[in-house]
Amino acid sequence: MAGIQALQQLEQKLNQVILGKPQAVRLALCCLLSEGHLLIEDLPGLGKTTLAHALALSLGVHYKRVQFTNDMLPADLLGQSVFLRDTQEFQFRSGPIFSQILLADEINRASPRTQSALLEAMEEKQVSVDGLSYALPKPFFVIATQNPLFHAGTNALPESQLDRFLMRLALGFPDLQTEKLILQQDQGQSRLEGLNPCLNEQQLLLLQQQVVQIKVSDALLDYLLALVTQSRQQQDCLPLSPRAAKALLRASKAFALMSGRHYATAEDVQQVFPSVAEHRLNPGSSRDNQSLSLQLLRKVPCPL
Amino acid sequence: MLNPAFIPTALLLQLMLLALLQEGLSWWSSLVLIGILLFKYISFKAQQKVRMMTINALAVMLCLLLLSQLWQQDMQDSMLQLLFFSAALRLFSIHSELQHAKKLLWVQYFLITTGFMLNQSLWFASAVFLLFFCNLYLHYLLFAPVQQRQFRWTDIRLLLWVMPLCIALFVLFPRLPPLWQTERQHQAQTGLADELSLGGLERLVQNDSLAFRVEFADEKPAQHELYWRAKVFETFNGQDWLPDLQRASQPPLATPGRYRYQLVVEPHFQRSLFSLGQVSQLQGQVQTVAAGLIESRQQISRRFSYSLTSNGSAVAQQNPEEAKRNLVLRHTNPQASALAHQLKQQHRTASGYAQALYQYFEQQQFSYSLRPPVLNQQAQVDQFLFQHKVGFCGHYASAAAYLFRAAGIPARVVAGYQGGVWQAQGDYLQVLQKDAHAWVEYLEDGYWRRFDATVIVAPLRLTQGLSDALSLSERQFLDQFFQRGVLGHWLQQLEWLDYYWSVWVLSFDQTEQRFIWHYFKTMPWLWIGGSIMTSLLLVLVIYLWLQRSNQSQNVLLRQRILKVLRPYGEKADYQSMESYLRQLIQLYPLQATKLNELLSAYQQFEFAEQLEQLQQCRKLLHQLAKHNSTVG
Repeated sequence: MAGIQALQQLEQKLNQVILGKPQAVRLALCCLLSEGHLLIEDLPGLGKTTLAHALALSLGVHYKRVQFTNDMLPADLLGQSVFLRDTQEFQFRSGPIFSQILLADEINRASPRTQSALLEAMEEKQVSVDGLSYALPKPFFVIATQNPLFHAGTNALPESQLDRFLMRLALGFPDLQTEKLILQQDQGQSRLEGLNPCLNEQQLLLLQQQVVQIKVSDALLDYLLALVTQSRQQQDCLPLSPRAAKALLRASKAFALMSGRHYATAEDVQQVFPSVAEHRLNPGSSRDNQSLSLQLLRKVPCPL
Repeated sequence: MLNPAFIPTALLLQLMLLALLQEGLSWWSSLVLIGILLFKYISFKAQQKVRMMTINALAVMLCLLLLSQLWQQDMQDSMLQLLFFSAALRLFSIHSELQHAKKLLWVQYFLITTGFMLNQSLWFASAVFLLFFCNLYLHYLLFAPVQQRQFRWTDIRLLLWVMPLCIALFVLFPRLPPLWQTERQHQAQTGLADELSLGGLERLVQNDSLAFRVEFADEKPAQHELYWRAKVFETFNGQDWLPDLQRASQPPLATPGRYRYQLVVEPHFQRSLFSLGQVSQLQGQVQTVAAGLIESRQQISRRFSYSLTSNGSAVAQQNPEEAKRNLVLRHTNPQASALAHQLKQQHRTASGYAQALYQYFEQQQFSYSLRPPVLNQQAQVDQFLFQHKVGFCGHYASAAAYLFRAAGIPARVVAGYQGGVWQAQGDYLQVLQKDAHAWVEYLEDGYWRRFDATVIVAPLRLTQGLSDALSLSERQFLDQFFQRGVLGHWLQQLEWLDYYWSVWVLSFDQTEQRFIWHYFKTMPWLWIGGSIMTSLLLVLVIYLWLQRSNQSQNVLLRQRILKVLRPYGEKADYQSMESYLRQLIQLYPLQATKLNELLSAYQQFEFAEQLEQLQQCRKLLHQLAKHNSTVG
């Protein structure tokens, strides 16, 4: 299990930056390991961007940050063909999306058109401009942040596009002690400054491969399917798609790897379930609300 | 609480049982039983509870009644009635008591099977099985869960599943000899009587019921050779012919026989059996007795089967005593004696004398009738021979035997059956009671030769069987109905089925079983095939079992964990085992190490499928359970 130690080191470092949110940090890492895109949603000032930055910085890969605004055009994100007078031909100038990690800040401020341009790239891992396809680098993932929907000047992501995000995380308020600590340690410089990459690109790809090889027992799969099936029988939520089931399995495996195991357990599934499922079950919900997924977990017996 | 359908079904069952066992019940007991069932039905409808006092009083009364009747009827029938009364009264007393209902069912199982003491035909057996299944259904009503008390036809499939097992048990289970046997006392005599009077056999001749059935292995004798010997009468007292009391057992002659045949005899409650001429070999629970006859070791009270080999020739003389015994004439018929002397002087040899007698019967215009005039006490032979000249086989046999003896030729009367009807489908011969016959055997050169005067008087009697009592139109109607009609066809088919039921099922005994084993032994491929099949089945069963146990080991372990750890704290349904155990670790720091070990072993067994961890889990659980019990 090479890379596990580096991973744990990384987790530790992130926890030093994002104080008091070990679960969110772990899930965020887990999401990246399972090659999924991450959506962080919360009120402004709770550390969304910090978490995204910290992740990007510490992974030691090439990253870009894009601040989404409502007048942003797809070309601003993807890049555009420019006519060169010298050579008398068009040349493609790649946009910020051509990076290994894209920090899409306040994604729900952009127009639906720009949103969908990004989401297409997320799913297909390539960009089409003027009839030509350009492959995105590997690994590629998007860490998007968004403000709650009721905030002014937001365009809600449609269900189909929310589904592209493997997980949706919320950070929530820190507890009093942590907040005190944050205040105490505030010495006028960003916490991110001292952060060095703990993993290189190779290690990350290797870890992602290891996730795939995590063992999942038959009984565990049955449990996972029971959860999915339950969502389809319930009236008060959207049903979970097979893609959601796949995402759940992948995330569970990554979670198992994070714990240094080569097999996934029922607890892994239960731990990742709210983050993976809630935004699919209830796209309109926001912030810390995980009530539907937790309710669903309580309805399905777990003998394992 | 008793199923509401139980009592009506039980009532119906007992009513059917009443019809089934009718033969063993007297008229008054049938009436009483119907009364009890009817009364029970009424009180059930009105939902009234019958008082135990009433039932007890009724029981005492019925017992006394039975006791008073005991001397007049068969012991076995009395016991049957007692059993039936107890079953009916038990049903009478049941209101909602499960315990009583159980007892009732067991008594009914017993009662149903007692039917086989009365009759063993295929139809009766089918009825017994039907009732048996009804009782089984009652049993099911009693114990099935409330939601599943509806009768489903799919349940019949279960019966089909057990059928091969039943058949295998029937064929292979060792046949035990009966534990006890009962002799029926006042049973109506259905076979040949123990003496033959001049007017004897009349009762039998008018009886259409089946006497026995025969199947020949290879060669079949001609119709006029089918003289089935059953009894030999050697003593004549002027009116009746009586059997000789001296019945020495004789071993059969071990000569090769011409005819090999198997007989299935209907119960006639005697020991005498039927054979053709000289018997050379025999098989089954039979023995030879004097005069070349065959006898069963026990009274024939159920269908009985045996096999014989006969060479078809005349019966040999067994000792010199026989000749002397068969010359004795104590009562004289002067005219007959005179005729005998006269004929004897003309014909020296016994066979010549017999020919002369045939001629005499032919010339003197004797006629055959089933309703001959009644004879006086005195000199009956004379009356028949010279006065009436009308009679049937008994008269002719009796007279001829007298004439032989009067001429100094040893002769005796043989009673049995003549002919029979060939059944086309089964290739077997059916002999009815009306085929009863009597003829004479006279001694010449050490052999008993057959002399049958009826042949001369009524030749059709021999070739076509007896239908003398019927008019022509009646006969035609019957022929048409029974032989050509669809109904007749089916009746014959049913007869045929019943015959093979007797041959293959009822007569299946130790001998047959030994034969089957022997048959198996001679066929190695059967053994090889059988053992291959068995081992394949075994492998399949083991494989399935392993699969199952492999799968269920996880389930068992989970159950065991929950059971052992329940005193520590309940696991919520949705909780994973890990979070449950972690919760316990928090709550019981003293057990934390063990619980942690258990958790890791369990996770590795369950999720990483490391089967060797099962042992570790069990060990830890054992320790935890022990600790648990010592702590409290």
